[in-house]
Amino acid sequence: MKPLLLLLTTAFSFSAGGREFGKLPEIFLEDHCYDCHGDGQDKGGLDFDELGHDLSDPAIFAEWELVFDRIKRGEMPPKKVKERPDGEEVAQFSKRLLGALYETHLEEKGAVLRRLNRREFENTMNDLFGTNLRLAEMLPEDGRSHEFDNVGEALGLSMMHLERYLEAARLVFDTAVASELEKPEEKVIPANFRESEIKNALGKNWKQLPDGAIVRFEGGGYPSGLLRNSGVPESGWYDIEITGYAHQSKKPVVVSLSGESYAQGSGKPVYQYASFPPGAPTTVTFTQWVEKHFMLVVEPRDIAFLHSRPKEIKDYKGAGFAFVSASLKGPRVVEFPSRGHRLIFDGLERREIIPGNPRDREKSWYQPKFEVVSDDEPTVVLASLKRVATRAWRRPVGNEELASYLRLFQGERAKDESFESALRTSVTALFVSPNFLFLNESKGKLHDRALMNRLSYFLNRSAPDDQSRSLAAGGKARVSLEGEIDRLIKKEEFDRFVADFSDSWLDLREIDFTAPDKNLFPEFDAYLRDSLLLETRAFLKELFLGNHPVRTIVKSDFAMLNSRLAEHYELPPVAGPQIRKVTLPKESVRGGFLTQASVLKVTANGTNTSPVMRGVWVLERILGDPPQPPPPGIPGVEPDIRGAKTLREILDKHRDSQSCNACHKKIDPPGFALESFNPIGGFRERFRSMGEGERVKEKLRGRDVRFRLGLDVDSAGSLPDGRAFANYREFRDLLAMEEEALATSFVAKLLTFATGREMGFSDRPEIAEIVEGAAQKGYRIRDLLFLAVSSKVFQSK
Amino acid sequence: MNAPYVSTRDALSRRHFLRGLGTALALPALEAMCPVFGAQTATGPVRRFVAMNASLGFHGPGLFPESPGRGYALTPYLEKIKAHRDDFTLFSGLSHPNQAGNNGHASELTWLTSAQRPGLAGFKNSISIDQLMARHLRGQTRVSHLALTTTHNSLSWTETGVQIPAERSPSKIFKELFIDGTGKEVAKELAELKRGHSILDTVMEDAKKMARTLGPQDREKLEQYFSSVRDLENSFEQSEEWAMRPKPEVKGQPPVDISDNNDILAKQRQMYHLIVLALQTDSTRVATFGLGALNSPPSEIAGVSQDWHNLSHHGKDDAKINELKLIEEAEFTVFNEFLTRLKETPEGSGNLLDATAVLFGSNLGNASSHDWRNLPIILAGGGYRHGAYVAHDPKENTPLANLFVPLAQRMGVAIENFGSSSKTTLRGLEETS
Repeated sequence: MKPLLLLLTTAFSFSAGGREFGKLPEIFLEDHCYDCHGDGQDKGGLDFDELGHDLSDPAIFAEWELVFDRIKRGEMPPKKVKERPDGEEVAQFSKRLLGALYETHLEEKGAVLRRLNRREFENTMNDLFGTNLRLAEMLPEDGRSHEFDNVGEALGLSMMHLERYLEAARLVFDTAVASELEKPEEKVIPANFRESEIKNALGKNWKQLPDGAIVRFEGGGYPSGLLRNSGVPESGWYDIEITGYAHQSKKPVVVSLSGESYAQGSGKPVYQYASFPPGAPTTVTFTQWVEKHFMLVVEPRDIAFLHSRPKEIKDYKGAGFAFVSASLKGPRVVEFPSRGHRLIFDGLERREIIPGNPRDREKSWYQPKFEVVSDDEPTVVLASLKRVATRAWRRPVGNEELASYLRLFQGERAKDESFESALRTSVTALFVSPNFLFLNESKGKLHDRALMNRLSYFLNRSAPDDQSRSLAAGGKARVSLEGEIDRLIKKEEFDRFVADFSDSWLDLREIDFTAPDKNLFPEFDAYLRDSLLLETRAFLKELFLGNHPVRTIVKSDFAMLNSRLAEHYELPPVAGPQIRKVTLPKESVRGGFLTQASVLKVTANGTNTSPVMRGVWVLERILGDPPQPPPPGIPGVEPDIRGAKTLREILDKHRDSQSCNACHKKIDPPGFALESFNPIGGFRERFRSMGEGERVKEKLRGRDVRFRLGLDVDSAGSLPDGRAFANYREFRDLLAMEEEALATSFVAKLLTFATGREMGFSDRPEIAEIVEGAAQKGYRIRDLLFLAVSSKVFQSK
Repeated sequence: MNAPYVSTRDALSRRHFLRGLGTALALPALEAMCPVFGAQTATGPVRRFVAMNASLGFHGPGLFPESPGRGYALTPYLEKIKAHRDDFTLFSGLSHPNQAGNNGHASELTWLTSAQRPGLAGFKNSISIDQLMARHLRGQTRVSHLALTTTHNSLSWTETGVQIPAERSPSKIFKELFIDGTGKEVAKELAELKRGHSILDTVMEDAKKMARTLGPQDREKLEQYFSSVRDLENSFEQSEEWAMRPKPEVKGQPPVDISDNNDILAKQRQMYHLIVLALQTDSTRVATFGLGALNSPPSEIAGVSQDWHNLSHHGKDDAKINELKLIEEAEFTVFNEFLTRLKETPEGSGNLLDATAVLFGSNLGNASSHDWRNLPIILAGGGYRHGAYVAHDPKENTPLANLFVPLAQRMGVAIENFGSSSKTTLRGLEETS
């Protein structure tokens, strides 16, 4: 105690945006905090003399919020301090601080006009016009807030955006509007290997069977499985057919079917993995969007490597894929003219301009030109603009609002532009208008239409469909919420939610941020890489559709697997590339997100794992308790993979210090437990090393390995409250008991994504209520979703 | 190599001068805005700024000499640019404060902005120093800036914290800067610009109506929309004026984009050549260039077989460090070629290097541990006294923005501070002309 100071003690005021938000007497801080965090002391980077009181500054707010939480949880003052505040003191102090934080946040939150992010822009345009254009790529990257890329606050706007929006809208218009007279006919494109390639490769790394089938082996090198004459003339949906069978194999071989083009940087999208059994040829068919000029590539995967093959390929006894034939049929025109075309031109008379020489129309090169004719242009154009605007702006639009757009049309006509060109300009403008680009929600309780807009962008990532629109128009949005949620999560478009939400929440967008070291992790291949994304997305979807309890996030008795994943996880075999729900063996270490290779990969770099990185990830994503970044002046620990020391050992030195320990005693335990998994999600008992260690004699997936087995993994630890765990399984069981924390964190993530706003201090009571509401039935995921959507947080701005 | 041959004196052909003059006469209003290759403007010599970032850093021991000063002993990387020893200064002990972010590479977002806590709660990026310069010079050149990259990352950010997409295709930029469209194409471009203008007028009217219905904080957000519209209107106007002016003629074939995404050196070389061309023809005075990073081995570098990003996380493994050094040495070799080209290009009474401040470095001091302190920073050319290795305090780093302030001032931008700068000068930075 410092009695003298006590007499001099003062109070200071919090402010935000020029307003005052409560006074905080300094006495508590002086008595219990300033010894370490004031009067020149700044342990852990916190010095109250330096910390401002303007709570509208997010950094300052975050710091005070942390002060609140740590005092409330009894983490501060630290345990070893003998002279502790009593319950009454803490309650008094917390109440004051809570008031200031709550009021400030309540005032600030919800105050953003949210712009569509680029994924939402793309979906909305494509859905409205029936196109399938990759518009997101044309737009500047969206700013992120805590990895969420749809938070209004972080979504800036610039001249570049408008420039690209203009471009995108024109492209959509030109693609959607018919350039043909009739529905174009579908063509069949046979897909074959090039003759010269066959000639060169046969007998070397390919072989031909008596029935004419060409056999290729995995890792066969050049030439690849590129079917060179299969380039499609234009982008569109194609029915793809491939026939073949497994050669020299008792079980089916898995083949990746992907696309490739000669254009620079065009990427190699994988369409499908298909399974071909031995015996009679099997035909696999699927419908796929193929970009212009992309050719088909067929590569056998997941069979023995072809690298120690005999001189003559006929003597090689390993499995291969016997390719019989393939073709693409399309582009399949789903609707003609497109729905975008009809949206614009319905009720307008658009007709072909007959060329000077009518015979030209029979020529193969003939491209029809069109004109729109009308006796009363303003009326028909207004009707067209109104139809488009009602959909584009997601609400009824009056004539008056469209007056300037009509004037734009007339201005263009006066400049001698054609009707269609002038209309194109006007329609383009509708999509550069803030009425389209921003989700305009008024403050307070959302009206029905705004509610449906929010729900639709949340679960289907696009503007409301007809049913949602009619519910909103009929004033039935609120009463039909539960049914709507059920309907929307069963729609195909829910996959967009699954992809976008997991990209953000679980960081899956970083799946290729590092490539696993080929020497350390030779078993990592393309089939595994593609499978592990599918696994996590399927698992997330299953959580919703199966209404699983929230503990499933960390512990489940099932996994979503295919043949490659089952092998990777050392589980009983699963046949084929299709992901399905598989019940896990009783003692399995797998189950939940934390043991999925995707999560284990994005929390590691390609070489080594850091308990700190993974621990922070678990706190941030799963427990919703993000630790502060290390205080300034603390250098990162430099990893050492030479095999003499584990990162855990290097870190141990670090942790002795009191100020490091405050955070690290929370960060490290999950990180230690996850040490049982290598950077690609394989289970390990020893670290792989490129330096010291024991040689590995066994082959891995048919290949000699170069890494050595180094130090033992130590995945034991204890939670901040002292409960110890000996390994990952025990840790997981402890974590799965924290149902309330898991649910609270999950709901906060859902609501962030749903509302486009970071959840904050004043949302805590509402979130707690949602979680409590789901407690009785075991905090089930879809229940949580429904309660979240029913909450004030979701239903108001 | 498909890089265009860089014409030097020849570029200033009589034909070109006459063409330039012709348009200047036709468009008198433009004359003042557009110095034609002149080394002088009304306010002084033409100055340029180029910044290059290697986002995977440089292995410190390969770059930094043992002791500072003018007489430093060459290190493996500096060996590669020793021909320009008197034309560059190497700095250590510089960094932006408070760069611990949401992941180890977050400081990449802020290398030219110095905004703090990248990626964490409430983070919003601020304008990058190149954009501040570009804004100041707007209208004086065909394009106000170039934002380039070999992979994805862009170094340039708008005032509203939006990342300006960087261009990856040299052929596209070459076409934009140096290849005149046909009469028909130009007419089409102009028509599309005019249409764009009319669209902006319309939506602006709409936005004003909308603003009336919004609360004060929402209106703030819509304010960004208004300023974006105004910026684009300005840009359209300038594009209209420039669309009618013939483009400078450069010799040689236009570049053909390199299809091997991993051929990082060839890609860097092409972009460097393009930057020289753009500066030399005064098509722009500001450029940023993300040198690139790969999650695969760069091709065409003998002895490198491992994934580049992985190599940067070498974990002190000698074999990895050796491969990493091969890549980084090669990058310095290509950088050296760039400096040589600038130096060999005459400009006024001197050369283009003296007229161009070249910032070359990284946002990571030690990529293996994602340390964002003690950044490797080289400043070349720009009319400064060079030749030394200037070591700032490795424990208490000097704000890197202290370098940005004088660089911007030299470009004519009247600022006294920028981002986290604490001073308008930097020890080791001294003007010569």
